[in-house]
Amino acid sequence: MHRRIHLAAFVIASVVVAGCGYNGVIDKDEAVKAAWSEVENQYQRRADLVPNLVATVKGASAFEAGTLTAVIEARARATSVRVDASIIDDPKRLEEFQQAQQALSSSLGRLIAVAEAYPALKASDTYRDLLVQLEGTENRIAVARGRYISVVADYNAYVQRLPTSIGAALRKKSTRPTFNATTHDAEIAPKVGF
Amino acid sequence: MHPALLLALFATSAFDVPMLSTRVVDAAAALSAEQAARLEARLADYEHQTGHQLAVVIVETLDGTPIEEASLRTVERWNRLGDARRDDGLLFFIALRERQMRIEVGYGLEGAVPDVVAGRILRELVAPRLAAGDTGGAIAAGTEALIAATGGGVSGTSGAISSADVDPWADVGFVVLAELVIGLLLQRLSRMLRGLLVAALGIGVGWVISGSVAVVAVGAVAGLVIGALPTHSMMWALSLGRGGGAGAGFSGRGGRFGGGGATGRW
Repeated sequence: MHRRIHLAAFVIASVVVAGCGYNGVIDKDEAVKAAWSEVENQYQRRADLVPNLVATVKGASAFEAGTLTAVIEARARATSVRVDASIIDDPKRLEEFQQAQQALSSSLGRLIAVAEAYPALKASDTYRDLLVQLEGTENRIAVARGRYISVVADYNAYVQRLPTSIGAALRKKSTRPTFNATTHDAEIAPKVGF
Repeated sequence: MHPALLLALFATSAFDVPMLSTRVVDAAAALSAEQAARLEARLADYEHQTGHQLAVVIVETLDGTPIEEASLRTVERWNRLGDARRDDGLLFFIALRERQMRIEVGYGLEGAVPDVVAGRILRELVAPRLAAGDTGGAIAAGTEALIAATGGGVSGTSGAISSADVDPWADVGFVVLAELVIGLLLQRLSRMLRGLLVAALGIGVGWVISGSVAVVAVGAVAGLVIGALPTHSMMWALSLGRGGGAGAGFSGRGGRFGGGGATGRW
C-alpha cells in the first residue's frame, strides 16, 4: 500500500513540476537562442556578400563613387556592432544592431537603384548572380526575423503567464526585447529586383 | 515554434493559400489535363527515387502579397514539403497575372540548389519559354532542371530552427497508442496498479521519443486514465485510433524552409 502511495505521489509531483514551467522554460529559452542565431547567421551572410558586390560594381566604368562608399561604410558599421550571446537580453544593443543593419539595407537599396543606369553591368552574369544571392539573403533575413519575433512572443508569454511564470522566475528568466516589426524592418527594405 | 504563431505573422495578407492534394496544383488551369498528369507522374517518380518532395503550384494571382511570402505560406500550410529530418522539400511556384515565379528550397537542399542555381533555372530555362507562351514547356524545363540538380542526394541540413517545430500531437498519439496496447496486455492486474504501470510506460516512451515535458505530462495523465478503463473501452479506443491514421493523400512530411531559393520574372 505504501509503495503505491509513493508511486502515485511521484507521478503527481512530476506532473506538477512539469506544469509550473521549471523545465519548460528551458525549451522556450533554447528556441529563442536558436532563432536568434539564425537571424545573426543571415545578417552575417549578407555582410559576406557585400565585398563581392562592391568589387563587381566597381568594375563598371565610372560607377558613382558616393554610393559605393556609403555601402562600404554601412557594412563596416554593421559588422562592428558587438554581437554575443547577451545581446538578446539587452534592448539597447539589439536596437543598435537593428539600426546598423537597417542602414546597410538602405545603402544597398540605393546601390541597386543606381546600378539601373548601367546597362552593361545589369546585363553581366556576375552581377545578376550577385543580385539573386542578395535577394535570397534579404528574404532569409525577413524569414529569420519573422520567426524570431514570434518565438520571442511565445517565450515572453510563457515567462509572464501563470503557472509557467513560477518556473521561469525560479530560473531567473524574464521577458526579452524583440524586433520592432513596424519601423526598422527588413521587410520594408528596398526591394532588390531586376 | 507553434505553427499558429507563424501563421499569425502572415495573417494580414490577402493571398488565399491553395490546398495541396496532389503534387501539381494548377489553380489557374494553365496546363492541359495531359500535361498535368505527366508532370504529376514525373514528380511522384522523383519522390520515390530520391525521397525529396517537389511540388508545382500555379496560381492566377497573388492578390497583392509579395511572392516570397505567398510561396513560403504555401509550403508552411502544406504541412511542409520534404522529410522532417532531411528538410528536403522544393516548391516551384508561379503567379500568372503578376508574371512572377519562385523556387522555394528547403534547408536540406540549399547546398544542391543554391540561390544562384535557382535564379539561373528561372532566368535561363523558364522565363524565355513563359514569355513565348509555352507554359507547359516552361514548367517541364524548370522541374527537370531541379530534378537534375537534386538527383545526387541531400547535402545535409543547415540552419536548424528547433525541435519545437516538430508536431507534438504525433508524439502524443504514439504514446497513447502504446499505452492502449500495454493496457490491454495487463488487463488481469487491478485498475489502480495497471494505471500506474501504464502511466510509467507513457512517461518513459514519451521521454524517449520526444524529450518534451508536455508530451511526458500528457502521457502520464493519459496512462492513468487508460489504465483505469475497462477492457472493452480500451479495445474501442484502439480501433478508433487505427481508423484515424488511414486515408490521407499526398502531403508534406514536416520539412523546414528558411526562405532559400530565388524569385524570377518574365
